[in-house]
Amino acid sequence: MEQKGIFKVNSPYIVSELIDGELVIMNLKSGNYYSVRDTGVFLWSALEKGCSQDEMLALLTDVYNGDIPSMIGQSLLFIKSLLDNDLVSQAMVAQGPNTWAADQIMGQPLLDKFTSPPVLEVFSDMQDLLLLDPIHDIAEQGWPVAKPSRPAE
Amino acid sequence: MSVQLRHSVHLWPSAEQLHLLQAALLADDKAIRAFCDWRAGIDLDAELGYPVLRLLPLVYHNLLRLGAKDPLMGRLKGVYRRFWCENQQLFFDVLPLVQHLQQGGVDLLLLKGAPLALTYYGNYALRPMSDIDLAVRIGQLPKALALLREIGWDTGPDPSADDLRYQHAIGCVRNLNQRLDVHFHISRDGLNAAADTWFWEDVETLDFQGVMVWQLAPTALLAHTILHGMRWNEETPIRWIPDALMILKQRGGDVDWQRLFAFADAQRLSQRLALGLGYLSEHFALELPEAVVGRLHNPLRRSWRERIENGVILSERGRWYEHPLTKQWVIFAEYCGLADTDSLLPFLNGYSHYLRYRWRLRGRLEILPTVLAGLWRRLV
Repeated sequence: MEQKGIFKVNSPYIVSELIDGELVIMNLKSGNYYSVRDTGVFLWSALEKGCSQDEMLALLTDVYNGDIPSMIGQSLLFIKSLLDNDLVSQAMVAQGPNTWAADQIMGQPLLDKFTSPPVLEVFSDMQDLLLLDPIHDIAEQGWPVAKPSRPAE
Repeated sequence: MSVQLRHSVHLWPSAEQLHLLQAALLADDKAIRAFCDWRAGIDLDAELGYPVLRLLPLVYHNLLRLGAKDPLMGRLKGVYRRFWCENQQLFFDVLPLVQHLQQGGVDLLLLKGAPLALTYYGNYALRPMSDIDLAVRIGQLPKALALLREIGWDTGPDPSADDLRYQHAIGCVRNLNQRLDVHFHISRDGLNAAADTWFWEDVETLDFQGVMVWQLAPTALLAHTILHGMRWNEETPIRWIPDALMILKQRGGDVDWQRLFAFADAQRLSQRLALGLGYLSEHFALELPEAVVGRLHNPLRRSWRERIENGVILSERGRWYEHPLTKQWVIFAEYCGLADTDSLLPFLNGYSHYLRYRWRLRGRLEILPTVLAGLWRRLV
């Protein structure tokens, strides 16, 4: 049987949750915290559902309008950053038909324009982040984004 | 139900805390109005306190569901994210410990936050907790402590026979920042074999990160939750309210009310149980079976020991410590909760044992000299 390369989330030490459109990922071994939005959430969701890199990119260009070479380039950089940060690993599985339609990848409406490239925002050192008072030391967008004037202790 | 309000502050939620609880728990626009009332009544620049802070993920979750727009939503989302991370980290860190104890043959019963988060809230963010509480059968305690020490936990000195009789749990620490409470009695409100048996007879399985352990079934969990909350504390206990409501929302049909009240009556806890249920009924429109409502309106006559014990448990503790004599009354009230007899001589005999324990004396013969020495210090 033919095989295809996919990405697997490095569980159990990598955990994630979609919170009001923002994907929060945490590496429980390193204590690093990551935030992903928009198209990055789409790619992560496709990855979690077992899509190969080619399938992810095909779905992406099917859904979003924009400059295709640019979209693909930025998406490949994003996937590389997931691998570099030990959030996912490559694996081989038996090739099967990809049954996912683009609108099934995420449980919420998709934007039709590739408005922002997928970015993995990294907040390192959870111990410092947890020292921040989540009401008073924090910018309007909430923990873990500290007020500019008050660095983590 | 207004009888509840006779009891002191720091037992019941303040007006602001009640607004916040309603913002977290009500299912319609009343929640948004309650949140606005809470915001109007508090100083956001001041410390909110841990009980309030750890309610905020539930507030955010509810307001988001209701489509609320508020400038504070970004920060509330941040609090939600933070507690999600904390609980994920806590559960990940404690998993090897749970595996080690279970592989060592110890029956593990998870209490409080962990089973509530996993089974009832179904969400890592909504039930913040600072540590893990687990219970073991009292006969397996030495084995459990030895296994914990094997993996680097400081379990303190081995508990004495008196510790096992008068305490309910051992606080363990590792690496200074990891804490674990090992309960050998399930509830601090039932330090006796009958209460432990009652709880252990009402357990069900829990999948904790892939390891099968025990959790209390709804009837026992509801008792544990309400009684834990019905106790005066410097930081007003409010967490029990969403916990109890979540148990009743998810598994209310499985609660055996007759069994619950039989336990409360036998353990002299029915007033506190009724106070908690009455509060939920009054402020959160909790619908209770007719027989339960009847119990709330027509409570059984309470024993003198229950009255004395509750007089201390439900009122401000600091007030009792202002005077040496009332401080001793606290010890007497504690013993009223511990004693298993109303007969005078066995009661006094047990009380003298408890006094010796609480005063850290070597024997009961030291009680009278200690009393006389105390009087001498104050009178001369």
